[in-house]
Amino acid sequence: MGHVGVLLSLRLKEYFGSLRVSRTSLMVMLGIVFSMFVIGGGLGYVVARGGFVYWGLSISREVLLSSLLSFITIFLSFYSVLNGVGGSLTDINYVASSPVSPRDYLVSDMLFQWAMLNVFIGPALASATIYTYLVGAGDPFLLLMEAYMFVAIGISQVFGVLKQVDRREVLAPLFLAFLAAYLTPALEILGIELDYLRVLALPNVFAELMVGRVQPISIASLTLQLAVLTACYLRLSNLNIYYNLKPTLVGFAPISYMPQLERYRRLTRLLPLLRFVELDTERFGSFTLSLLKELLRNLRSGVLLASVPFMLYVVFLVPVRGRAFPVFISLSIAIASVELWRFAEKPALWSFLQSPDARSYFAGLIAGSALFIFALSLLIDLLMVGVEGLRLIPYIAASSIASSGGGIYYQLRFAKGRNQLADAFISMTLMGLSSLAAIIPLRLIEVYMPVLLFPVSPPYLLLVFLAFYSKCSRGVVRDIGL
Amino acid sequence: MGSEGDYAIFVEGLVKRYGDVEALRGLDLRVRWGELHGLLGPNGAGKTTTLKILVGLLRRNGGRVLVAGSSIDECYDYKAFIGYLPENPSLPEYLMVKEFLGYVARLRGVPKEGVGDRIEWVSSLFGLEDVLNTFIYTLSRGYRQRVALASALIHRPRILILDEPLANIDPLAQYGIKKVFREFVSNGGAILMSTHMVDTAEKLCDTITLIYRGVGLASGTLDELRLKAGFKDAGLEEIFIALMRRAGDVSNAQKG
Repeated sequence: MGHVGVLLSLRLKEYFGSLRVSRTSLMVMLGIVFSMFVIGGGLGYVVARGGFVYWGLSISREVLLSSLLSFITIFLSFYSVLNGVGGSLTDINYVASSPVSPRDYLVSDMLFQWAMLNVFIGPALASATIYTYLVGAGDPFLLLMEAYMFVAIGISQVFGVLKQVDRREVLAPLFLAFLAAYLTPALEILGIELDYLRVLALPNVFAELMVGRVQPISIASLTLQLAVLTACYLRLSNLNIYYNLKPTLVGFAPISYMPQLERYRRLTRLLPLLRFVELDTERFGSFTLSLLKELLRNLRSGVLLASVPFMLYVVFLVPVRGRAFPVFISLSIAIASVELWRFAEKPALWSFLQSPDARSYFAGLIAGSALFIFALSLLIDLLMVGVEGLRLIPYIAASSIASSGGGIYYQLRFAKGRNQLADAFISMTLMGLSSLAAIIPLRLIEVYMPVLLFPVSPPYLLLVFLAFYSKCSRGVVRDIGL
Repeated sequence: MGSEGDYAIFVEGLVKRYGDVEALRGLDLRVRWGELHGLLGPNGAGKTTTLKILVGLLRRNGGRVLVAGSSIDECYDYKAFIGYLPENPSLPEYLMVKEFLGYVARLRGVPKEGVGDRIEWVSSLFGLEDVLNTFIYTLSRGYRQRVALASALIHRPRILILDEPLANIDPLAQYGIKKVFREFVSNGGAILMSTHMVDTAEKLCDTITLIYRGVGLASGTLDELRLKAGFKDAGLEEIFIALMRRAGDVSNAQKG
């Protein structure tokens, strides 16, 4: 265990290093901590009340807690199954080429991940605990949750090592069995009684302990599972994990763009047809070519796949309904689209800026981006809501134009690429605000002059588009000096 | 010819596949102690892949590899003997140069109390004294390369494995670095460096392996390479091009 402390310290300094030199990073970090603290208050409220009703389903605090723990574990494990053991580029270049034992690497990684989870989840846990304590319903769930995080990270590392050393024959059945057990809280949300099957998943057992309901069979299951997990961990952490280590750690630092893209290119592989759609560069003018390129870029870079997590969040975790639903969907797609543009195209902007017709590129980019987001959002809206969704076309269009324009403007004018997490966080916030700002006038028209909505909305949308186009162009002119 | 254990680096029949692409097709490579060996080849020849396999970053599909007499399979202890410079040495941007070198020293086995002296030593070798307390993100590409080189040497390894070590470095600094390399091998160490710059290989390296499409075309001193290519007074560039053409002809004939 000789290198654990050094490695942990290196990782923390690498990840949070920009906080030492950048006020923006510090503000973003404080923003994240504050927002998580507020969210934690909501969790504390629900736990103290003993549960809540969601879409007509009565969810007890025990099921809520086990769902939360299950979600964290499945999320971490899924990421490990996809990527294996990861690290930063520093890990790959300088740690993996050093005589550091794989166990030291994994243990320091576990401590680092625990610290990272605490940055994001810690404030929420703290405020939840404070709330439940203040209202006299204090359960010891903070300590148990902290302990459980180690278990969740340990499980994900076991999957990560199996993937890394290419033991697919073990990994696939084990992960499926794990998913079956760890999705049991979802069955309980649906009111399906599981009886003793509950103890197969550690989140259920920990949730029992958190609410102070302890059964002998749960303790036996906990002991047995922890023993098996420890044995697996000790065995697997001896294997050489340094072959083909991938850069998966994204933080407050510049990163290599390619691994991010690679993840989403998998969609293109699933749809080989997209590879055969080609741009006819002799047929179109600069603007049309740029617009078509943006449509194709969105398809090829797998925006749909990248926006799925945001959409799931919107559909299942935030009870968004009515007008807000398609708007949130378009915002999800816009976030994925702009983020992938940042990874795929922003580093290559210099080549477009050499062109005397650079402005056409930006006009096509903004139009193509908005068009793609609009078309995909409308499609999802129609699938989910039906023909009724057609009424919301002006809202979807406004949100698509404003969110993509806002995101691209921020990326062109302000994001320097040195603080990836800060860039992403600010860009997403700005996209949300832009979308909101574009929608409010439409909403006011609809409330006060409903008959005017459709006649007024097309010129209004054109104005919104032109506003963002001129902003983006000016952003580029100012930065690049065109 | 010594036994395989006498070589600093011994590679025989090295094979590496990326899916259907065969990046290395039975490469042989020998680097003796006290020798600066150049791995010269065009882009995509398999140079970086070879170095990554030696350092334990890639798993090979076939062949035998010994580094400092040790097998590299499922093992990481041998890494204490080597210093490695990656092709694109990305550095942790928000660490100071001194902090970064300190971390690498600790990871590569330098005791805590010796770290300060080692940092002083490598910074004097690579002219980093003035930037030790500077954040890495403020450094130019040349300085970054020097920091990465310093990190490869900080634990006093016996073997240096360097991927394009002189890239981005100005001529004056190159002169100093070449002197460091010569001193390293004259003290009994071994260096394996990849390059696609013929001039550098010709002037700096004691021995050279010419690699093309994953296969070693020829290996030896410049005179030995001349002999193999059948030229009397040719430079390395002409030798390399002639051997590549010959290999290309053979490969095309085999395809045909």
